[in-house]
Amino acid sequence: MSENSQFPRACQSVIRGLQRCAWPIIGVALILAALSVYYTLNHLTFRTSRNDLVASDQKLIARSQQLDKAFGSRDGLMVVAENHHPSHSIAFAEALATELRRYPQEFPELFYRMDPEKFKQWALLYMDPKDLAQLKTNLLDNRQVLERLAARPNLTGYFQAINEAITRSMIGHLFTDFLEEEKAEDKLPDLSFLNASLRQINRQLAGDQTYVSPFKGLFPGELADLSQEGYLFTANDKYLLFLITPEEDGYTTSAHTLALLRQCVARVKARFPHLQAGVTGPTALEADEMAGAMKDVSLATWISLLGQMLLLILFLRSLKRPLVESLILVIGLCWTFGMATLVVGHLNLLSMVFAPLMLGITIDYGVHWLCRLEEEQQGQKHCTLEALALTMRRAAPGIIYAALAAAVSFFPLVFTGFKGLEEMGKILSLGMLLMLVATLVLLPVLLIVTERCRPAQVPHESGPPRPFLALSWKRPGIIVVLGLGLMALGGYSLTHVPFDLNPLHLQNQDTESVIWEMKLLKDSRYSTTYGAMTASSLPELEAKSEALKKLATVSHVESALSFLPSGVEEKRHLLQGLAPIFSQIKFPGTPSSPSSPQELAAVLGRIHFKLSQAKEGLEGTEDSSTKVQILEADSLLNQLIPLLDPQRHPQAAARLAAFEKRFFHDLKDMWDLLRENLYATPPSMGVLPPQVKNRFVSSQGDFLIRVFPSQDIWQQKPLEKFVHDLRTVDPQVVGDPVLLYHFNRAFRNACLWAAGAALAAISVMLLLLFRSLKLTLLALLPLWVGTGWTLNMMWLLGLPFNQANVLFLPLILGEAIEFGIIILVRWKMEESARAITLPASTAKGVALAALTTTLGFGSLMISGHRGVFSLGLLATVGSISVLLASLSVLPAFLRLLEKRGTKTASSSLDFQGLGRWLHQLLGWKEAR
Amino acid sequence: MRKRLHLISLVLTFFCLCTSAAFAETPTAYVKGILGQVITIQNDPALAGPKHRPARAQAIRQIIRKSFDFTRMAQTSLGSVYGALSPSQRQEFVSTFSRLFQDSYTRLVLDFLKKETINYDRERREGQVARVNTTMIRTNETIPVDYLMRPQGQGWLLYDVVVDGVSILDNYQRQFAQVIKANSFQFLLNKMKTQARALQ
Repeated sequence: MSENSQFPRACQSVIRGLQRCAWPIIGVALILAALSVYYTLNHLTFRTSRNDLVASDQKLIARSQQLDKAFGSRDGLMVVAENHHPSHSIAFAEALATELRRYPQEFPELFYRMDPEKFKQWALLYMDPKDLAQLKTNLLDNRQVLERLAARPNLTGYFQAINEAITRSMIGHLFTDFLEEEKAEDKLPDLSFLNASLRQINRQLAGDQTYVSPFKGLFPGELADLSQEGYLFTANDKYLLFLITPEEDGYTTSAHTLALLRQCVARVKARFPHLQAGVTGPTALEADEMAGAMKDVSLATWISLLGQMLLLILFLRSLKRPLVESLILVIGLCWTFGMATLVVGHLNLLSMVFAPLMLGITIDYGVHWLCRLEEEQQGQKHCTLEALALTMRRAAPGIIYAALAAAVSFFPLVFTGFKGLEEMGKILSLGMLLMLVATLVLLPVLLIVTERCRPAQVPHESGPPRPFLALSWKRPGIIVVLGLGLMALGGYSLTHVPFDLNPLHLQNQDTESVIWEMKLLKDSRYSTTYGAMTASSLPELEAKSEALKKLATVSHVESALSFLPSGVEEKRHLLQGLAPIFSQIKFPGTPSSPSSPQELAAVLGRIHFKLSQAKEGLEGTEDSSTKVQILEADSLLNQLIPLLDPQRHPQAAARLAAFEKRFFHDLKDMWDLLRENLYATPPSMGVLPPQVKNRFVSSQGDFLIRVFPSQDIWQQKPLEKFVHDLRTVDPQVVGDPVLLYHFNRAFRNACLWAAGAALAAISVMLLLLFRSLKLTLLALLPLWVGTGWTLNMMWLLGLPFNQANVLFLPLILGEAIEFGIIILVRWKMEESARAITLPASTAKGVALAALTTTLGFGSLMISGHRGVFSLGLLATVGSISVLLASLSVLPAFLRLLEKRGTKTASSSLDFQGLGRWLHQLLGWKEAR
Repeated sequence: MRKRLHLISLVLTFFCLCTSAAFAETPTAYVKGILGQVITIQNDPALAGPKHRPARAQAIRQIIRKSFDFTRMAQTSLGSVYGALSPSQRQEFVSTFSRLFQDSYTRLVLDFLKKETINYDRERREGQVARVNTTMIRTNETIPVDYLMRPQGQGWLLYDVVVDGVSILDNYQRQFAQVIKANSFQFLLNKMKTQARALQ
């Protein structure tokens, strides 16, 4: 073997220098690591928002920030309660508010109710036109009852009027129902009002003093009991919503606030055992995702370290060397964290996974080094400085090229224009170089110290390398054809591997915030995600709102107008029809004369007589609302009439009188309020409470419009349509759906661009180093073949590309190139290696490197975060594919070349140009 | 056997109807006689059950046919419109009204008058008309029913029944007036005829 005399001497000098300064170097490395840890703990922050992944100079982000500034970034947290019993849900909301008010710093703003007192004078205008028409019908239908009641204002008079209405209805049904245009199936009027009254009297006579207005059946429920109104429910009343604006100060604060909120909710829920409630909202979703992913990634990092160490022990049959390598990885990781804190200052949703990825790749350098050292030791137990120098001389070039290639493969991420990837690219590229330095400097130093390496007693001589698995590569053509065939099949597989852009598919579906977000989406079409646009004037606000409501992709629109009544003129016209009733009928605040129990029992008996008859007629018929009402009324009357017997219930008269007073007081209040509603001037923006104004009107007088989608916008096509539709109304629209639309596409494109750019950069680098297209293509062979095989596996496993695992594209690039370079450099530099095609130590290094990398990536599969899991799975599949390609197709190809071109090999395989310059600089040339 | 009982019952009813008016002396006695016959039919074991409802209805309809003054009722139910009708229209209207009323009142009786006790509370005479206040009693529940009548020959003919304060004739008046106001008399008559045909 012929060698340039300068490089071996330089390597020996370096090793001797490292021996002399071993402890100071170790001391400096550890101090730097300690400083890095301290600096990281004190300065590194976490950014959980998806907005932090997009470039801050983009117009959309700027506009979003502008809107956040103008209208405040509110309602980040939301407590959702299933609303089976509105009174329970409301009691829960009040109890939760009391609990949360104990923490004003963490929960500075709560929004769960609008005070209905302020709006009651316009209550009728807020009603749906359909409900308003129903109210009108109710009042007109019950006009005679009301008139009779006004004429004889006591309970007996009231029930007499009802009795008459029932009788009239029954007579009408029997004698003239054929005159009705639409045949009424029910021969009785609506009994809900009667039943509500009977329920109340029953309760009062039984001694229960609770008063619930029976007028809910007749008048709008909103007016009947204001204490139960003004709470935030979804449109279908399935969920009660409680909005909380938390203290905003980064991920740590959000996580703390979220944990505190969950504790508060749990405490309150304990008092409502049958109520289901949970926490969601944008802040909760982000914090949960970050916390879950961080927990998983931390665990994955430790599993990765432990697993890699076990692999090293197994392969190197030594405990000391794996420990040394692990220490180097830990020190390098500390340095990288310090560097990341210094250069970037924070980790985002993407860059937080850098640690296991970097460990998986950079452990390879130590592995190649140690495997080569093992070969150079030739089975001797004691390490010598000469063996170390030889290892440095023969392994360092390949390691340096591989590390540079890895750094180059990540570096294009810096230029994607995508902030999340840009930061990750910086951290990984610089991290690779730091890890390279740690390996080349610390590994020999620590070996010298731990293995007490001394100069050799006798001159060190290298023997011929052993072939990998004693393979003779007799039929390399078959392996090449098979390998390339499978690679070509990968091109076809690619057409069956989709790119899944749905971010919900990445999340851990068992996370509380995700569960409740999905429930809201599924059951109520409510989402915490909406488009946001502004209007600078009230007419513009009205015009935009109207235009948006007409869009099929829009479910509903929220703005300051949502808190003002709509269709006011039409409703006022409708209400005018009620004016005569209200002007003619007036109720006193107290009953004219108290009803006697006997008198009331007689009237109720007459009602019961008729209802019993109606009940008989309903026997055997299907259940209907009338049948249910009749059965309830019959049952209530059966209970009530005996309670009115003064002999058996002497307290009946007093209890009846008390109820009668409240009943008429309630009736008068309700009636007066309705009358006041008829003549009230419609409300304007000025009457809106601060909670609404703060959210929907800026200090400059701009109006915010929130637009909710009618379709599942987590799917790409509906999302595209929704964003497109919103832009027809306002091209400046922003909000989560718009950002998501751009985020998805930008991220996918950025990753694809980065992969392409990395491939080009590495190719250029290899061309500059090798000055040979053939060698460059050979170095790229494991990448192409490995990628093809990976695509085949993805198709077989049904594994799509997604926003998380697309990160693997640059990673597989770096790893595949590394294996290609390591094998090719040795094949090129040593004739003895060419003779056996693939030396065992090189193959062992590559295999160990690939397996440790696989473990580094594979550890991510423990994550419940589906995105991180899919990254781990894809990386594992990819690493193994690249390994197999490197150890089969590449050596087979080299064997073919060796057979064909023995005569011309020396000239064609010379390193030229920059490669030659680098090799000359390092004092290394091809071994013959 | 049941068929025979059924026939006997019908014959008895017919006999009673033919004789009742002639022997009724006071309005109360007149009402008592009608209600007695009806309750007898309703409680006749041979006609009990849903299966014999048509037979009971037929017998009761016979009683009703003889007991009410349909011409006066039809006239009152139309109010001033009646005066504007041609004789043939009047005849057609009265005849249709009579058929519909008999059917409706029969259903009322079939459904409500069973084993109730009837109290005959008071009798009043105002000019040519008389009013008998009764109370229908079922356990502890009572329903006031007033019968209004006018003399006819030696007896009486009913022209309105007020159930728990609601006049049947008044119901007709209001409903007919609404239909005529919204449409026309002819529209009302057509509706009534359609209903009458449906009942056949």
